Amino acid sequence: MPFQRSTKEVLDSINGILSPYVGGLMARTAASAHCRDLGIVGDAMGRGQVDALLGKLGLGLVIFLGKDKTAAVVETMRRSIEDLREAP
Amino acid sequence: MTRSVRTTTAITAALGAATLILLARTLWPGAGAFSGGALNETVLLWVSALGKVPFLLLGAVYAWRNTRRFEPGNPARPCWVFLSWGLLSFLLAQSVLCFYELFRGDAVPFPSIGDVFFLIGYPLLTAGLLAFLRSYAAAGFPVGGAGERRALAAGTVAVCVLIGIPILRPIVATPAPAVEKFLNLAYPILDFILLVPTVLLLRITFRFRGGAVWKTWIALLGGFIFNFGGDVLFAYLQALGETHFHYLVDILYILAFGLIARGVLYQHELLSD
Repeated sequence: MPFQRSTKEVLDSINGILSPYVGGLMARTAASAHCRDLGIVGDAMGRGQVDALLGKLGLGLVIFLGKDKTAAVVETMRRSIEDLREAP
Repeated sequence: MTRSVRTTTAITAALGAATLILLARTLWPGAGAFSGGALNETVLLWVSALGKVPFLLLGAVYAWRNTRRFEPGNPARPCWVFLSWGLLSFLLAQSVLCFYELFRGDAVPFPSIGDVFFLIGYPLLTAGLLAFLRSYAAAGFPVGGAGERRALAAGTVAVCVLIGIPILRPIVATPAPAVEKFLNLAYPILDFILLVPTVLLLRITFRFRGGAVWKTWIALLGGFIFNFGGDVLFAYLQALGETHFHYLVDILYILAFGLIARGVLYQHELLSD
């Protein structure tokens, strides 16, 4: 079965991890804006879309957190998304 | 209590104590503590100096350490280089002023070698903030469009012109040696230039409210705003020949450098956690 996660749950998960760094408003709007730019419009996301979204967020974070810390934060988001239940 | 909270508490206590002492001296100069009491002019000079130099030292050192924590090629790295050199210039300038006041017991000559360091520091700090602005705008976070930033910059310049004319007019009109007049004009003008990226970064920072990035930048930019206030008040009082309120200028500088140091330390904590 291919990797599928609910878009809403992925965004909630990202929001929870990003908020302490960039604030709740920016975490929400940044993830939503990147989804729009990447053409992620459906209720579910595949692995490629999750990777692309995390890549975009990482590119922005690196300016505030540096490469190592950004890699750790992105990895935490990736693991948190992995742990979400499979989307129907 | 975390290390971050302890740092904030220590800095707040130092800023609060220095501010209260100097404010009390300005409001009640005839109070017993100030007229021959424990807080005589020498002690007040030390309070004023110790409220500035250690914060600038902290800011310059940790801004440099932040530079080293960003890997080569990271767009934030040159920004922190500019900031650390700018703060180092300010540190040297303030140290010169303190040397005259504390160790020579003289009034600080104007101009002095300290002014050279200040004049070097302003372009470095401005370059740093402009570099931050460019890299944050390009980071991919929704921080507003270029049109919004242009409009805000234009509005800030307009406000600077409105504030600047009444401040600069008496400086131009007052007879003074050319170098002195040049410096009295240069400081407010350099401040107005520094204010533009400060306001633009403040606008961006508000979009990060609640996060660690917000804490870093609201402290840093708050420091630059207080420094702007200090320079403008200094130039204005200098032009009027007013000497009673000079400790108010010191208060603004102490708050400025304390906040800048806290912002730099917040960034260091963010990179180190």
